[in-house]
Amino acid sequence: MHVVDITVIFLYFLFIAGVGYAARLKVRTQNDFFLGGQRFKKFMMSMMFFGAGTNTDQVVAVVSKIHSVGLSGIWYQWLYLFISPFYWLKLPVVRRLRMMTTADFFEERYSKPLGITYAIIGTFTVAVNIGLMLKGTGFVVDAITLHQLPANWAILAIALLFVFYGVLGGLVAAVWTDAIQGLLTLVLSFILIPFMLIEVGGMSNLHYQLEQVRGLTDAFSLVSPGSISVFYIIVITLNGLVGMFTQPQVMQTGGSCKTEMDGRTGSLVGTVLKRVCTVAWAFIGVGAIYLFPNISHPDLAFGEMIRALLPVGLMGLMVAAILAAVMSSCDVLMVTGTALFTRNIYRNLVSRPTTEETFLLISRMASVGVVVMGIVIAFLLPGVVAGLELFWKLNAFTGLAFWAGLVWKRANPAGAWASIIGSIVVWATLELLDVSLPIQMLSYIGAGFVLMIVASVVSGKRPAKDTDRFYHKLRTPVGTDAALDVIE
Amino acid sequence: MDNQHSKERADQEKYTDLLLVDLLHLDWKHFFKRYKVDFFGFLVFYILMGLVMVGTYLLKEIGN
Repeated sequence: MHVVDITVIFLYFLFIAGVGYAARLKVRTQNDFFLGGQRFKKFMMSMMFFGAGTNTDQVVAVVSKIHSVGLSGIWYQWLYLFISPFYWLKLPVVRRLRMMTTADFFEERYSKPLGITYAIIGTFTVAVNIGLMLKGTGFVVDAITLHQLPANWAILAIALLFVFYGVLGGLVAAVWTDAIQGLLTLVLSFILIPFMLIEVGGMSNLHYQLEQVRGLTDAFSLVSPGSISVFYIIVITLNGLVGMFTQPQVMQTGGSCKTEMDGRTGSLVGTVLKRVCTVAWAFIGVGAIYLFPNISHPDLAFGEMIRALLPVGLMGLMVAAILAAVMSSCDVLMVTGTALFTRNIYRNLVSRPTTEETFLLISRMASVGVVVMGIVIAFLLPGVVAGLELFWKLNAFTGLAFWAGLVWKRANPAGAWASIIGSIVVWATLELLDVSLPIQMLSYIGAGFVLMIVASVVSGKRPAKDTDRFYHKLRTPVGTDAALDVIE
Repeated sequence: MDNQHSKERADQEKYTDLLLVDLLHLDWKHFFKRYKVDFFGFLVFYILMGLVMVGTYLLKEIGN
């Protein structure tokens, strides 16, 4: 790697560390640390949604899949396209809940043991997710730099940086840096396109070479998804809707906005940006089919394109952008994991910190612990794809209990337990029988739904006073009732 | 004056109703008034997703 590229990466690291260090001045309470003081407006929310939801693995996966099956591989990132508009409806609900973690929801709506159970599952999920992202990105950087920056060193460098600014500035630092890192992710998505078009001789020549000369008639087809059928998309959409509220970071991404409209607009802009970037990644993938038809593994296609097409200086910017994309996802996840551990595990099972300072100190120590756990777990796991499918399922297992608690007053702890345990048992059984993913999903969602209703009805009604405050909050926007706005 | 104030407050409260919270007992009679932010935002979101898909189709047709 050229000295100019190394300088660009170094300057970028220094800048991000400085921004994070400055953010620490804004953190006085746990609300500041975990929810950024709920003061972020439309631009910051847009960048957080975009940054937290976009990472390098996704670029690599889309380019890789399109290199293998043609443009229809874009559906591997568009599977959630039909769920995205539901974020508009979700945002105000999350904000009105006035909670710092998803486990708080289970604790307040159902019971403390359910909250702790979710917190354990959620912390584990977050740690694994961080580890997988770091691992994936480490290998990409390793490949691009021709082993000059080995994967293990890249992982450590990325982790050290976002732990440094995240520990000091919590969600404030995460959102500030995401605004910058989101812009760099846009660079990552589009910087290759002009160089690729010059190299392939324009779109006309790309069409001609792939379709006429090589006979790859599916190279530009959007409608030959192979293993992704319409049925598959419908089931994945349903599963995504069920697990929409129980992604661990949902309170951080949804609850930190200044107003409901800021959050809604942020979700819309951030999501549309991500989908547009996916289109850019897709065309890079098509270009890779032409330029690198014989690479040893399709996962290498993105790295090969970068190495072959980008000039000195821009290569460094690209590596910085790749690091930015993963850090902007990991920082929010780290704050989420820390919140789950500190508020719902440590506070309930060990001791309740007496002052905000003590709480912040424990949170900062827990941040380091969550990331260390993530790195350790990542190196023990066999693969990334299997891990991602497990995340989809984990969210859905607890998702039905969340939905029921939200829309059905009759839902009670017995129903929630039955739904969660039943879903997991059905999934584990079908997994052992090697049943296909869509059938597994339909089965555990169906079982969880029926068990939720039956167990709630059979075990009897809860007194209305147990849930009155909860439902009153959902009908009252933040800022209109001071008594409800206090987050304990 | 009091009536006017009450009406304004009531309108404001209706404006803040959320579709997901009322999912099992939606007020169909006043649907568009009560859930207008939810409904129209949701619609715009879907239209934008559709535009991304159409845009991708048009882009891939360049030079074909």
